[in-house]
Amino acid sequence: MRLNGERLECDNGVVRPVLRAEIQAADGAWRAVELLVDCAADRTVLCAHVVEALKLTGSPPIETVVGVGGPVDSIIVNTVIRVIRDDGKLVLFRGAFAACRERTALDMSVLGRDILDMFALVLDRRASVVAILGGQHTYRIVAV
Amino acid sequence: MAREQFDRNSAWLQAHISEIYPLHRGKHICIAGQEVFSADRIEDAIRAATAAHPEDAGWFTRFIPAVKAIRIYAT
Repeated sequence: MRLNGERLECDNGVVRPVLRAEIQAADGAWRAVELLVDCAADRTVLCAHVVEALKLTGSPPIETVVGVGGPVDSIIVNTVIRVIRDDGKLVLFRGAFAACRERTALDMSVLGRDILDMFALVLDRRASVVAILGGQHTYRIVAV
Repeated sequence: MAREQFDRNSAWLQAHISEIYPLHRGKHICIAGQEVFSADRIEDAIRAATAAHPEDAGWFTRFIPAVKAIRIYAT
């Protein structure tokens, strides 16, 4: 299984590894989102504007979300993230995800290691590869 | 269909990002129909975008930080 990401220009002209996905909104519709592929993030966290856009409601957090600026006002939302595999089939990640309530705390939702650790992650800027591999897919490092 | 529309909107934003970001700092934007809609509140940006392009199921949103800065995302 292979999920292909991309490098997209974001704030201040910086190019970041991003996975295009869809999240199920409160009304059941699937809405497009961009997820920053962030292997430094312990958890997948949805940013405030996505939570508002999808009208997701949540419950008080079980764990505190802490960013570089300190603890963040957050909630837990139950939803489903789906991603299209390279063969066109869908992968669903169903769960309780942390979500920021402060607009300035996080400008992009992040795909963290709660999901990434189930796979192999390849981030190669020189080769322009952003790939999440599982199942029958793997990678090989060779000396050239 | 929605995914194709999303890809088109995303590609359009990438092609125009250097114009769009400076104009809409501190705002929410919604991209639909390969057009940008900006507002202080996310629901207003979405409302304007979906009213102008009701056929586009691939709209997506971004919040453009008010301050241009280097960002660290560890959570």
